[in-house]
Amino acid sequence: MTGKEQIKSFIREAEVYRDQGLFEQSKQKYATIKELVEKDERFSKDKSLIKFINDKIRMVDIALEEIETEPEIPELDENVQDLIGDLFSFSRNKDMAAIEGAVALAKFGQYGKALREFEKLIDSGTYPLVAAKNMLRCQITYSSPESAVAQFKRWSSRTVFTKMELKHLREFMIKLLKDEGAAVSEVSDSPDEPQYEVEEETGPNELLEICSVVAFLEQDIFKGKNVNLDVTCQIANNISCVIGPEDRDTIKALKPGRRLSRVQCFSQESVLITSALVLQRAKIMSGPKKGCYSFDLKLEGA
Amino acid sequence: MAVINMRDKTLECKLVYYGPGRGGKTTNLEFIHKAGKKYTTSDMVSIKTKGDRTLYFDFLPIGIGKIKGYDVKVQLYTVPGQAKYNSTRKMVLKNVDGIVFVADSFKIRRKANILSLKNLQENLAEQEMNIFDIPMVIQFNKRDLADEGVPVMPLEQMEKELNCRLKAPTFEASALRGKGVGDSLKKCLLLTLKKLQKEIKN
Repeated sequence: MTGKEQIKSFIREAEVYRDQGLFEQSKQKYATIKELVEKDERFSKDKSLIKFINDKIRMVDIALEEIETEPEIPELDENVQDLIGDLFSFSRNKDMAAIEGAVALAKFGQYGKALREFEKLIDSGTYPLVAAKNMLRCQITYSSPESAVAQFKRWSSRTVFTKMELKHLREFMIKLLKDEGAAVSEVSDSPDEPQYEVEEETGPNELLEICSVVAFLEQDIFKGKNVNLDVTCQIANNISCVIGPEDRDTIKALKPGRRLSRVQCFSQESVLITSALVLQRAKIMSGPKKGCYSFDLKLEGA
Repeated sequence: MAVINMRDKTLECKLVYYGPGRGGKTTNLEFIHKAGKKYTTSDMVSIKTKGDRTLYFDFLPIGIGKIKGYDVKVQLYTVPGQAKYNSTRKMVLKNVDGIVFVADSFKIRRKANILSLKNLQENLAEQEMNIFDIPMVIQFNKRDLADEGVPVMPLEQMEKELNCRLKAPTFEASALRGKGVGDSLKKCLLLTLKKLQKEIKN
């Protein structure tokens, strides 16, 4: 390959890198070409060639500068923010999903929207402590320690949280402030100290949330068939399911005290096979599910 | 983790396109979106920087019809490839069911491919997932650019460096032209659905 052909080939390569958005690599290639041209007497006096290469390097530099000066975390369109909230909330439990969605917004740098969502959750009483902690974390990390302290003071002057909860939040905030190396004097003088500890709400990461179960019924008319049940509520190992009135056989079969030796529990993270005890069966007398039957099951060994 | 609704007979799974920055992950999704209009259930969402780099993720939901009576919906995501966006990659990887690793065939991207694959392994491990267990295919993208005089790595070298332990199915591709895009997706989906079927049976 002649020197001219090599330069042409290198220019083609540098341009492909530029087209591909590989600006650093393109710049490096152009630098190599420049060196080659400057060293070779046949090209070193070709002013138009040198100008061409310098112009190309300048263009790549502009592209690189644009990338470097771009805001790291842009405020996204409201629709995209809503989509993030939806896509990154994995729980079927509506309240839990709302918390996860707001946490996801914060993680994607949409702090304004995340703070508004946490505020809404606190106002509606949806895991208010979890929401408040996330709100403080958001403010300390991405806004300023002062804004977190101001937020805490606003909560203190309202009846949003009990004294116990405020104490808990204050301790949480002080720890975060210390971790960030911020001054804590403004919040360290405590108001009336409660004598007992606040009970922690379970955060979204600490709960194995069961969405649906499949119960295998070995007796009665079912003879080894299975029944799919959607879980409407879960408190620790106790779950509630609702069955429509038309499903008479299942309602009859799931009588209180009956042990279901094989129950498949589906959560977002895993499938658990266990046994369960029917604790309660009750007809729903009012509301949109009027006429349906509610069942409480205790999952054994879950 | 895939969502299986036995009552509604629906199955929803999540595939993530992973790989080094500017390797062609978004181009894969763009081609699928354009070529498979009848399968897409809504528009593709791209969150990009001004310089056309993926900032957070691309998202494309598709429906592939019924398999054994189940309506199968697939969510396709890409991650941002640049090293600095690792926390975003971790978020997008959450609950992933299958991976298409898009490797860049350019010689100058050799190290970037290896680092990205290593990063995938670490991020999966954080979720207690094993790169050797998850359904995965590797796509060797930009093969066509060898014709433009750009030095690309031989396939044998890429196989050896990226796939000697994984033994994942590999595909030559030119995502811009659509070559290898459908095959990579189909194979990844097939592996994912097979694994899900096995998990349900157990």
